[in-house]
Amino acid sequence: MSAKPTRRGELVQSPGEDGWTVYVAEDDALHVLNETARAIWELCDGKTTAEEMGRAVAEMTVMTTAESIAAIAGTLASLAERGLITMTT
Amino acid sequence: MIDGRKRVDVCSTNPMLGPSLRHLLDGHVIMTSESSPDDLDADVVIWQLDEPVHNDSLARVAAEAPTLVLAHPNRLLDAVDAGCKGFLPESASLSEIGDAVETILRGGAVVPPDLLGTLLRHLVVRNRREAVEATALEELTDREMDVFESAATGANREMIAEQLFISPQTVRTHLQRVYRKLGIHSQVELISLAVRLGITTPEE
Repeated sequence: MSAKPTRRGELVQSPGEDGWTVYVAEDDALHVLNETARAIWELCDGKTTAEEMGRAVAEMTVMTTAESIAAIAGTLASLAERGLITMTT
Repeated sequence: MIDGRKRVDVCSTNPMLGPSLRHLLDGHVIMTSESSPDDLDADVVIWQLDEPVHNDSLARVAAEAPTLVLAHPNRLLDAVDAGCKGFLPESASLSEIGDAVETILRGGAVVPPDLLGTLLRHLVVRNRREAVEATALEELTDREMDVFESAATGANREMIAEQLFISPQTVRTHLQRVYRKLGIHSQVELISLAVRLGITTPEE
């Protein structure tokens, strides 16, 4: 898994009641992310692979590395679907 | 649900923390200590860092027992690098501490959601660095690895020479090559690297 996702949009300062807001100017769209999604979105710098993210998450959970990487893949797919990241290799 | 009563050592200068947790976690045995954790056989150690605590002390405790640190957020990365299983800010509520203890007893880790991004970034960078260091280690010859391992215990040049039946001058030459290959400049850095790679432990 060598995809290196790149985030789109800018974080709107200070979280609201429902979570953090990201504004994507190109789409003129606002998205609300919970803390976990925000943390993953912020890791999407175009240099960090999904596997690296999964390994880091695995260190903090009871999930195995494989489970963690799978979970990250799901989160990234959701972010991509909402136009919050682009996937590059 | 956790099976059986677990031992939790609460190390804090706050005299109310232990008794309050004893009430909250009444299924477990709560012990208290003050300056540093007393019971390293505990199933969980809760350590409130009211005073400066060296990272090596944290690592020593964390190596013995799953440790939950309560401290200012600027100690988060120290706690994680020391191998602690959980971190909460000093302002955490009793119920947050109780939930964290149960999570750690189940084998999980605890970090405040608002510090998650900082921690993940740190772990990604740390994992990258360790991968590079591990690769560099593979470039050492068998003899250089012997010297590396001896030096990692804190042995000086003469002691290493004696252990490996070579002259101190040969040790010096090997160490220079080891330092160059690993991109380090001192035995302190070598020991730190060995600890990070799990070749030695802080107490050795």
